[in-house]
Amino acid sequence: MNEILRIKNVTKYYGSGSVVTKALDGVTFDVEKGEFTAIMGASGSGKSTLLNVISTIDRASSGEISVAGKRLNEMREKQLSVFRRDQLGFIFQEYNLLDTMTVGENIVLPLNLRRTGAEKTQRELLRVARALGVEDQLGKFPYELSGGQRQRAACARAIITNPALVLADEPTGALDSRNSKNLMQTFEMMNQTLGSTILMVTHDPAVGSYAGRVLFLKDGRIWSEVYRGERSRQEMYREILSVTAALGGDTDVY
Amino acid sequence: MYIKLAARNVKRQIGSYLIYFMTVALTVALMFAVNNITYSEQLQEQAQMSASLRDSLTGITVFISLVVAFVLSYATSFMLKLRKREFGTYLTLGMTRGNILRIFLGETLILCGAALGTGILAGLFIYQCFMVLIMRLMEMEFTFASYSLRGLIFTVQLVAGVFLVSSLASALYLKRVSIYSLIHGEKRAEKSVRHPGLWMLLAAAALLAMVISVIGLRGELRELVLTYSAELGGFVKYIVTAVISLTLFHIALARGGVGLLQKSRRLGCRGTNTFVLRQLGSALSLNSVMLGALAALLALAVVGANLSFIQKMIEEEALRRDFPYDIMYAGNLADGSGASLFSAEEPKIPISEAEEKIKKYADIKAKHPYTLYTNGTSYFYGFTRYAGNPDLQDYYMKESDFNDFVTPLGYEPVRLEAQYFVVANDAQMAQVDWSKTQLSLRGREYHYVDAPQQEYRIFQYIMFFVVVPDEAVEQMTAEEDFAAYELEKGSYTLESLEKLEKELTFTETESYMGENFEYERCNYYFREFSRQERNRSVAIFIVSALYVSAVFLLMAMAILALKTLSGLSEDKKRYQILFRLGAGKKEQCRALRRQTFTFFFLPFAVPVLLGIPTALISAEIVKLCDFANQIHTVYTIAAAVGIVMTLIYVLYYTATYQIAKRAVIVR
Repeated sequence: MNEILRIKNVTKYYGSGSVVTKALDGVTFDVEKGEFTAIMGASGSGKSTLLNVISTIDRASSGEISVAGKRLNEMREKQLSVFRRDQLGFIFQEYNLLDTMTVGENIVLPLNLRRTGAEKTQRELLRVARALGVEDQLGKFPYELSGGQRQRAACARAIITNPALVLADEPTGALDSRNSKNLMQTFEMMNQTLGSTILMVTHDPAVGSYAGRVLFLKDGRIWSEVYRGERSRQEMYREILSVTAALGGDTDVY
Repeated sequence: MYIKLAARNVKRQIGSYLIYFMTVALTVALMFAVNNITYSEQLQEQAQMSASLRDSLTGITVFISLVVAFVLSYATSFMLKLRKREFGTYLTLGMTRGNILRIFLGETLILCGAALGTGILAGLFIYQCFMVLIMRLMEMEFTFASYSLRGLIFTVQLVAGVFLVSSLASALYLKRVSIYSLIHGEKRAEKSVRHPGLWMLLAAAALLAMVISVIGLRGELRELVLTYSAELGGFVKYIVTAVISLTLFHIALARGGVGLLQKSRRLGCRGTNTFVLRQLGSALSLNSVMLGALAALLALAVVGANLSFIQKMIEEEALRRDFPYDIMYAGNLADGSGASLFSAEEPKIPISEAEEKIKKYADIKAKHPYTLYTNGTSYFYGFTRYAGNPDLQDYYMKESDFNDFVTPLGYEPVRLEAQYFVVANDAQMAQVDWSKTQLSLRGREYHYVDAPQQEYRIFQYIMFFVVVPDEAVEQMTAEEDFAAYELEKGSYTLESLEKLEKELTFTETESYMGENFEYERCNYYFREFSRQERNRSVAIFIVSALYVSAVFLLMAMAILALKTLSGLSEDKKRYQILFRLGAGKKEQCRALRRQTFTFFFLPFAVPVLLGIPTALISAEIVKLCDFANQIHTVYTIAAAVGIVMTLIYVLYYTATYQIAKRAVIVR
């Protein structure tokens, strides 16, 4: 079975009593191994909530989520930590690199948490650092790097454990257009060369056009879905623009 | 408006301010209690607290207030930094720095006011506890101690002074800090400490210097006890070296220790080790000087508490040795100065007459008279460092007198058959190898034997005497008569003994450089008076030492707690990242515990361990002073001080850890 992520009828409510907000309303979709999927939608459409419940940072109110065949709903807190450590890789808008640690130490942190031996850790560090082009920055602290370099370091940290799924939350949000483009090429490389399965939340159609599939969320539901297939990135970009226009024009697209 | 805002802020920030509030309140409570002791009329009347003692206590309190002012200024700056983003936002909204200072000072004033009130309330109780302790130490009956208005006013003045100093520090900070640093905080991450190996070498050198100074201090103390010739300069030199090297050791360890550990790949690849080391690395190196200073304060607290209790024990033992009986008669003993101890003059008040006076005020249960003899030679002195001094002569005591004196004290009577032994009355004489002496009297040889006990309780202002069989003194000169009186318990009161002493006192005139000087003299020495005098000074000494130790401990813990708490907002973000990377609650807790524990206990471990050399040296000195039977008490005191301080420290640490855990750990 090539199915890495399975989301079935997931709902999420916030609040209690008479003030209840339905952030996710019966979301259902699958992600295959090696897929690069983007989730787009307007502010408040539920993209970040969806990413949070998949990443186990938040719990769904109902429905079923499985990653690599493991049902998250049935896991206890400790199992969820192990799951995040072993199966997921994270890339955030604000990089989330630890400012007190060097780039190299940041990248190997997930391996340290798994208590991987020193030699293997070093080997893996060199492998991903080379692949992501940050091998010259390993001894530096995050504040000594540019935004693009920091995000590449975050990518290296996300894939060093060979996770089943890499989750990216607005990864280009803090980058300029040139660095955004570079980062997305890195994502493509991670997906095509290193075989990473990526689920990315973005509001930028240009960024979304790098994905193989784009899911559009509206009011907590999957509203539409676009596959890139054999089309070029420009064609995919145009398709995304037209879908977002049809979505109601009140998206974050600009 | 600003006061309203300040009051609302205090209410909102109560969690962050809790440690600050607790520290100020407890310090105020201690200050209030000691100030009440200083101005206690009861102590002045009942314990005759001298003006010098009161001045010493006032001096200590003022010194403590200076330390508290410094520490609280430091603490206040933490509180400011904790909320710098908030104040930065106020500035961007158009408030002036003066407005913000007013808000912050308003908050501090509310807190200090509340802490003053709480502290005084707690101080009312702590003062009574201190008085119970003092009265017990003075062996006096405790009655409810009245409070002193002067003590209260002095406390309020000191707290106001402390508040002003810390306000000044806040004002200076707010005046200088830029809006950018307020809003963005100190995002600058610290680079690794350069050359951690060199820092560790410095730490090792400082440790060596500390060990050398402790050994030197031990030598000076031995010298003092054995030869009375140690100089103050020597003590000061070693104490200053010890304090400086202790401070340096902690600075170097804080800077180099973590850096060195970070070099180990094997250690770094396990769990959150690298994370914790990095967290600690920046915290320790940024605060290394503060940690060194805290270690010095804590060391003074530990050593001070130990010495105060050991001093109490030594005084008790010394009293038992110097005054084995209730009243000791010492012939014409003039001033105890050495060479002119004995005179041929008859006592001004004959013994028979004096005994009649004693009987007027108390019942004599037993009398133990004894005589010291001399044959005019100083053969035994020839074995001491006083060899060759023509003014000194050896003294002998009859076996029967000796037994009569020591048997009621619980010692086995001695049986001498052509033997003799030497009773040394001080540590210096106890070190002399008397076994090399040979005694030949009236053509008869006597053989040396060791004294059956290390210490006999005999009231003598002479360095040693030789106990010989009765017949050995037959042709010697009776130099002086002594007598010890045991009084019937309950047959006298303190007042009656005071009256008796007055009746036994006479005026003597002495000429010096052509002028006549009159002075009061009494040949009868009362155990009760000596006990009271010693208890008084020891009680105040213990309370002062405990006060200083408690405040130093409190200050150190407060700084560490506040420093830990002020970094929580930054820590929270870092732990959030750890959580997302898969560190569960347990792993995060472990990391936070190691991080906070190391930061908290780094300046405490060595000072608390200093209790060990303090105990070892004290035990040696106690042994030299012939109180060998009390060595276990020294160790017990050291253990108790160590345990109590550690418990208090652990309590404070646990409170800080729990607050940090609640704020930082992501579930």
